[in-house]
Amino acid sequence: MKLEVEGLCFSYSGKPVLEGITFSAGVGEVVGIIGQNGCGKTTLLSCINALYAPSSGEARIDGVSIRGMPKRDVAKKIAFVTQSANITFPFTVFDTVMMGRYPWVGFEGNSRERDLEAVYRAMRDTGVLDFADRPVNELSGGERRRVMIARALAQEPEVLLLDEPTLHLDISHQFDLMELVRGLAAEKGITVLIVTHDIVLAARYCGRVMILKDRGIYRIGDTEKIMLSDNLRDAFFIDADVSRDERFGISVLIVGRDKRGEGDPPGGGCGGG
Amino acid sequence: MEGIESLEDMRRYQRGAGRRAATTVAASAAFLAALFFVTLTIGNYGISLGDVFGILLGSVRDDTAEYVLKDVRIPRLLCAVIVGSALSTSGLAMQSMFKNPMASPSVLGISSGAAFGASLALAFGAGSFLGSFAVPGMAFIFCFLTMGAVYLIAHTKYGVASVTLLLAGIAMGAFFGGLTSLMQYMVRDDVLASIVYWTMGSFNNCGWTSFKLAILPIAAGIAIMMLSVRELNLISSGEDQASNMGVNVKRLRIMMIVAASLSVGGSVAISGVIGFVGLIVPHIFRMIAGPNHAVLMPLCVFGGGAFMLLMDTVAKSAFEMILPVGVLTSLVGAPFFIYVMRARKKELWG
Repeated sequence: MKLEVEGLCFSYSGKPVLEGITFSAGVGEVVGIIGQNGCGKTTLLSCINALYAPSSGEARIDGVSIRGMPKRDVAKKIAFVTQSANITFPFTVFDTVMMGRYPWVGFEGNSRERDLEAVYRAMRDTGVLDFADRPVNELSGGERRRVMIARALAQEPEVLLLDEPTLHLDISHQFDLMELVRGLAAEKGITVLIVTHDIVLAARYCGRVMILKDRGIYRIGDTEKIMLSDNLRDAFFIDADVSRDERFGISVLIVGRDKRGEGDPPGGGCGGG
Repeated sequence: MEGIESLEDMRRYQRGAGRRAATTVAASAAFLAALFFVTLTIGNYGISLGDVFGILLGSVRDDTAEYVLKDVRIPRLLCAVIVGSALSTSGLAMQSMFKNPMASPSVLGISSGAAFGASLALAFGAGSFLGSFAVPGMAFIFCFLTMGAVYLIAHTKYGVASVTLLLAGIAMGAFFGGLTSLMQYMVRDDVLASIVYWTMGSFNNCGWTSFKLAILPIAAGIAIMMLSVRELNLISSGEDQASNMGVNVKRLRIMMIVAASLSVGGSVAISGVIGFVGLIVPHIFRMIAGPNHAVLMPLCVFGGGAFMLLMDTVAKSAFEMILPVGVLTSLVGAPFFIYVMRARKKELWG
């Protein structure tokens, strides 16, 4: 297994957010992580990426624990595209993607030429070559998201963590972006974890899905076995029809708020998000 | 870009950008050098540009002119250059580290802290264990403490909030300003004069001794910042993102606080508090050359030096009396500050 997470626990100032998270993901797999606001999805990514230190448990890549690994070594293996991409200073797209080469600078076997090649490939694969010299802050939301993914690809990671990659994109760009991600995983063998609120897209594009609830993994498995009306009702208090479309695959239709949950406050949210 | 399609196109693009950057930096260095020689001719005692070269090369003999040039103007202007460079580069590093276009040594109260440290050394001989480095040493220590305090006050787990940062800076600046004023009440007249000199900011007392005192800490500080341009690029787009790309944020933060304290401490020790230079210069060059620190940092070294030379020359020769340069930079800087605040509102509050 490429990525293994074992018994991972994390608390924010004494308040447990994640408890006993154990799962693994193989080469080229796309795993969707869904769950209500504040259920610890982003926190889980941050722990895998060693941005936060878990209180116990660990994440391993190829059997090597991330804990105690120098930051730059982590960044060579894991790239994390965060939700917010607020930009104070107007770097060009080229300079921005080049930043992704930081973990490799001065590393044996790396060179300016290799940096340039990696940046070129990353920009070509994400389709941002056209605006290489435009300032990032002048791009549209969808373009900027692709630039951030290009920067992550320039790190030449083995694992790619995406936090809400389709947020604020129009429906057509959402599909484009998910196709891009699935293609990258398949072609380059990158293991991708996607945190998303979009159940429809997760059902369509992720090979496996994990539902987080009550600080732990409520369900994990192949998408068709997890994307079931019962599971969605339990996790989100919604009524959803799940069917299979011959052309596109799994299709989730969210019908409405589950009536049986009434009187019972939906939630279990625990801050953050 | 008119069509980057192949790797070769991109190589060409990178080369072009590199060449443009190198040209800009070289031009700023040439401008500084030319300005230096021109400003050497300006002052009460008239020395023509030809005589300046003549005296320096030994072909012109004029004892008074030689004294004025070698023992008064050259060291004073060199001091102006290194202080300008130090304040500009520190301002740049702070703006990037705090992700805030309003940050600078004077706005964040750091210069006031340093001035208080220097005053302590002057008035009570504090820091005498540092020997002849007592004044810059104390300035450095208080720079470091003030900057650390401002950072700790403004920093939360969600990053540094602009408003909190500026308010923390104002509070620290006011606090140390108050302490310095208090000291002015307590000391003898001659010490009072030198403290007042410190709080106004001027190169009038700068000679070779000042230069020798300041050059080491300033050079060390600038060197650290020059070596961190990649990390500064990354951190200016957010601490978490920098960390995700492998930057050791904690170490970088400490290194930048040390580097800025060395530079600002060295500057304040010889010239006192000269406001707004660290705010203005990085902005001017960011508008010209973009936000890449590999270009901006050397530009701030040369351009900051040139800016200060210009300011000092105007302050000492454009008016009936010799103004302290700090007064002039404040008069120019305050409107600029307001401009930045209005023009860059989105970044500031966003």
